[in-house]
Parts: sequence; C-alpha cells; structure tokens
Amino acid sequence: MSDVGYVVAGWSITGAVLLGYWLWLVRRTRRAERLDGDA
Amino acid sequence: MNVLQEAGLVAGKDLRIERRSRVTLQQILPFGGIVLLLFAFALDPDRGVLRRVAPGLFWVAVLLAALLAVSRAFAIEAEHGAHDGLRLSGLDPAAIFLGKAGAVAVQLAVLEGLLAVGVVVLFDVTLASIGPLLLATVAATVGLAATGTLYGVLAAGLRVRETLVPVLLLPVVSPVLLAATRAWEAAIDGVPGDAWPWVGVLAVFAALSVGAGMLAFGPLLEEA
Amino acid sequence: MTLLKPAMGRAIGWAALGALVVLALFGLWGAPPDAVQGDAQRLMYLHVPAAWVAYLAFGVTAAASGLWLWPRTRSMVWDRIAGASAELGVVFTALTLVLGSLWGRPVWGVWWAWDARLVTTAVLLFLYLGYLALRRVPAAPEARAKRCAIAALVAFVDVPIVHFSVTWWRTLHQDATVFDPALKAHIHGVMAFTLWFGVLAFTLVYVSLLDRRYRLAALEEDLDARELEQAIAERVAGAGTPAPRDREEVGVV
Repeated sequence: MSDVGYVVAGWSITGAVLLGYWLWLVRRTRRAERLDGDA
Repeated sequence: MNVLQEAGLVAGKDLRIERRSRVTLQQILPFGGIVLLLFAFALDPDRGVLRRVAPGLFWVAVLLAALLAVSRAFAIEAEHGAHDGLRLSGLDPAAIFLGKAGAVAVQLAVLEGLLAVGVVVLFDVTLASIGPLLLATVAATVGLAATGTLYGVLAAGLRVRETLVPVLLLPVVSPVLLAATRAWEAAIDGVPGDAWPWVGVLAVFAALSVGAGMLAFGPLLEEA
Repeated sequence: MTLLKPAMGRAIGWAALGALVVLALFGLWGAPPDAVQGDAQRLMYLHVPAAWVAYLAFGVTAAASGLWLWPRTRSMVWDRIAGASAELGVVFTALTLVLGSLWGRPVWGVWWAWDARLVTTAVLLFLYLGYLALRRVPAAPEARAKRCAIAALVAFVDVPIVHFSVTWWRTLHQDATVFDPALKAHIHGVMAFTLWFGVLAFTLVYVSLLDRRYRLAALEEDLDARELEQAIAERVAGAGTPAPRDREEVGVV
C-alpha cells in the first residue's frame, strides 16, 4: 500500500467509527425515548 | 483488639481453611507447574531461550496462579454466604482486608518458592544475588495480593466474578510483572545493583495497593 | 436529563461536525506533506487528537468517579458521566491505537513498537474494557456506581505507574530511537495549526457525544427503574412476572 492508502484508510476508519457511534447513540436514544414514553 | 490482631484472626482463618482443604497446594500449585511446562512446549526448549526468558515466565505463571488464589479467597465465603458474617462480625474492614490479603500473600509466597525451584530445574537458571531477588519478590507478592484482594471483594457478590476479576486485575498489575521480571533479570543475569530501582517501583505499588485496599474494602464489602 | 442545555448541545454538535470538515480539508489538502514522512504524516492530525481525547475521557471518568465517591458531592450525575466518558474513552483509545499503527507502518515499517506511549495506551484500553465489563454487570445503580468508581480510581492511579515503568524499561533497553513519529515531524505553520485545530475538533466531538451518551444513560436508568417497579407491582398483584429486559438479578426476592 502506498502512503496514500494508509492515509485514506485512517481517515475513513475514523469517519466510519465516529459516524457509526453517533448513529448508534441516536438510535438507542430514540428507542429509549419511545419505551420511556410508553410507561 | 487492634487492627493487626484482627487481621491476624482473619488471615489465620483463611490459612486454616487452606490447611484443611489444601486447594492451593493441590490445585493452584500444579496449575503453576503445568504453566511452566507449557511454556517449554510453546517456546524452543533450546536451553538458551528458556533460560533468558525464565524470569518473565516465572512471573507470568505466578500472576496466573494469583488469579486463582484470589478467586479462591472469596469463593470460600461465597459458598456459604459468609460475606454477611464477615460484615456483621464487628471487625474493622481494613483489618479484614489485611487479613485476607495477608493469607493470599502467604499462599503466593509458598507457590513462588516452589515454582522458583521449578524454574531453576526446568529452565536451567541459577538464582544468584538473593538479596534484591527476595526483596523484589516480597514487594511484588504484597502488591499482587493486595490488588487481587481489592478486586476480589469488588467482584465478590457477582456471578461473573470468575471472568471479571482477571480482566480487571491483569492490566492493573502489569507494572508488577514488568518490574519483578526486570528485577529478577538484573539479579540473575545482569548487574544486581540494577534491580534496586525496580524493587522501588514494586514497593511503591505495594504500598499504594495496600492503602487503596484498606480504604475501599469496607465500602465494597457492603455490596458483596 | 442532559448535561448541556438542548440549544447548547445542538450548537456544539454542529460545531463539532463543522470542525471535523474543516480539519479534513486542512489535514488532507491544506497542510503540506511532511518533508520526511510524506503524506503518511497526515494521519497525525487524527492520531494525536484521538490520543488526547482518550486520555481526557479517562481523566473525566476518574474525576467523576471521585466526585461520586465523595459523600458531599455524591450524585448519580457523576456516575453517568463516568460511564459515558469511559465508553467514549474506549472508542478513542482503540482509534488512537489503530491510527498509530496505520501511521507507523509506512513511516517506520512496523505496525507496532514497544515504546512507553504505545504500551501505556494499550494498557489504558484494557483498563477501560475492564471498567466497561464491570459496568455491564446487572446491579442496583448505587452498588454499580460504587464498584465502578473505585475501579476507575484505582486504574487512574495505575496509569502513571505503568507509563513510568515502561518508559524506564524502554530507555534502559533500547538502542533504537524512540518510536514517536510526532516528535520527528517538523511541525510549523499550517501543520501546527491543523494539529491544534484537530485537538479542538475532537474535543468538541467528545463533548457532544458525551452529552448524548449521558442522556441515553439517564433514559435507560429511568427505563430500568420503571421496569423494576412494574415487575414488583405485578408480582405483588399475583400476576406472572414478564421476563425483565437484560436482567440476571432483579434484586427482588
């Protein structure tokens, strides 16, 4: 892999991880709000 | 009764249980022994390699055995729901901590002595410079026993105790493994004087873990 | 229910996103390639900020744990912060290590090296993972908070010991130069700006995610408490108890 490959990999992984975690948070929060509201 | 006397009471109880059940001697010690043997299978028994890494292998074996010893220390009470008895006994929690940690330390010391013989025999090591070696071992043992007892009580009431304690304890005691191995290496193969700073690290760790344990044992015992 | 006021939370969220975009522009294009490391050095703009957040999150977890343990400041708010920060900490620590590997490979030819910073960060990851494992054990909130707080503080005291031991070990041991690309990079001008901007951007991301994670923790605690009440009520009423969500021990006889 050329240097650019590593850079692309690194930045992509970072973006994916941050995006993925944020999405997970949003989804879990919506689910919890829904269940909490049902009470 | 003062703290030390109370601690002696608790340690005595644990050691008496060990004397009757012989779990350390009959189960944990062979475990340590087989670990040493397995290292020879895993690494090239070309004497050169094993001899060089012997201190590290010794301490890894001790560390793994310590996990079992700590687990055992709290299993003896868990079996009979005796945590409540301990809590209600009126003993100073710090004393209970010192007692339990002390008993673990004694058992570890016995294990270490016997495993050291194993290391000398299996890995062709000569234990020179006993001074720094012994002090390092004492300090490391106190640190392991104290930290182990702290995490042992932390996980005491939990069903996942057996898988949780290792994952909590091992990262925390990694400096002990590091320092003890380096101290042994210096004492055995290198300049014995080099071992003293590592003994220092071990002593600091031991002091901190005993302190932390004495403080935290009471609050944690309440939840056990 | 949240750490920040909703308007503030939203503002920081957007600021974080914007900062990341700007960071990407500078990091991938605006900043020049390094004289020695070439383009690979662009990973530094992520790796160093991630490492900063990893340790920041750890510090926050420890501080929050201390505040929970101190009777005068005890509040479940601190426990939630500790837990949320620890989860973020794991994410950023893992990211730090991965980015470090990806950076080290082209620059130094190795995926890993046994220098103090890397090893300490690896140990940090395991300390975090242990903490999270402890957190996931079903228990009454107060009991869990107590256990986790103590575990966090012990780990916090341990990190400098680990770092010191490993530093000393490696300086005694190695003849090779210290594996730390950050030291070797000639940082000035745009590159320095980008690096610091990266630290800022990641800090904003941390704060924003912490706020959200805190909210989730509060909601789920509420949910658990409500389910417990329901279970008790139904048991008392003599009806069958529905299987509680995610529970091993309900704490009710």
